[in-house]
Amino acid sequence: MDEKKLVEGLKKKQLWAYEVLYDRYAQRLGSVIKSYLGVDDVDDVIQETFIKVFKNIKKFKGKSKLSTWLYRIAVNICKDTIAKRKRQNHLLVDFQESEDQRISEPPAPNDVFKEVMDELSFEELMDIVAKLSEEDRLLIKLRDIEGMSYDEIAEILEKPVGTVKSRLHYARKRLRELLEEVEYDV
Amino acid sequence: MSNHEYEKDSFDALIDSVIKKRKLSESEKAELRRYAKFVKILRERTSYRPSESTKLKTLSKIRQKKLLPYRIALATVTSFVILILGLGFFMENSILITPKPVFLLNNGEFDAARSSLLSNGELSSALSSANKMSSVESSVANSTNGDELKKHLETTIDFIVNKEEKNNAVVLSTSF
Repeated sequence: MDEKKLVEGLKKKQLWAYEVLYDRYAQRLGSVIKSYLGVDDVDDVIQETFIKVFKNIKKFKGKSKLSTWLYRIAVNICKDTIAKRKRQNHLLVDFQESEDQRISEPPAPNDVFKEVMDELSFEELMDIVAKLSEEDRLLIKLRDIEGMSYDEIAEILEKPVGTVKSRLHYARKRLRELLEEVEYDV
Repeated sequence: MSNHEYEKDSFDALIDSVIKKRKLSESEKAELRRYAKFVKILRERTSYRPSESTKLKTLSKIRQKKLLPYRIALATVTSFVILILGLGFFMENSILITPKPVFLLNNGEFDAARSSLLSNGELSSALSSANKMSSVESSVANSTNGDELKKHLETTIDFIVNKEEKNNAVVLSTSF
């Protein structure tokens, strides 16, 4: 089904359209939310994102891609969640998962993961991830993992393209430094 | 950082593939490899599989939101119908409340009411019957001994005192 028909269905508030939307985007959205927030609240944020889509779909004019619009909603909810956490003095992001969650994690689909896991211990990796700020993680995720263009990222974050490039540059630099530190330790 | 500066940064440019392929130095290769591996790990660690229960919960919430206007409309119509029925019921049925008859007034209002009635000249017969009652009472007083009279007076006073605590209006009849 093409995006136009889907948007029409969404605007008519037809349930099948929301089901299609969920099936198509929930996984990708969840992945971005998880990289931004850590392991907590992913389901809640996804749910809230789809409810916001339902409420605001009339405002979607089709100037950007539907996926970009969805990501922007999800990122804004993530920002609100982080602000709420800070207000409640919660620990910011806890990437340390419980033993159960580690066991239930799907196995890596290729050998690279295993190979790298031999080089970097799980704890070291989690340390690095935790040392990156939420925005750095999000930028790396959107650009280097999701493969989005700078224009799309700028639209999602509602920031100029130059700012996005600059911030991503510093995020990558920080990550490289952290990786180097680990390598030296090893 | 300007675009020019950005493009000059070889690492960013390499990752974003904005510069033409060239022979990389060993340190660049190592750095790129490390970075790429980390990104792969991050991808694995942040992979998310939405559960069926989350999907059902989300869709159920959306369904509830969709039905909310209809529910509100239904509730409004129901309330309106109940209001109309209630108003009709109370408009068609009434409770008749009449003032307490003068002879039952036993407080200070008695004199005012009596004088009001007498001044209008409408109850001259009431006055005559009251006079008759007085004469009957005096005859009773004459015919009975002192104890009986005392008892009769006490009963009358009790009756008056108890009546003072009640309202002056009496519901004589109701109809539905």
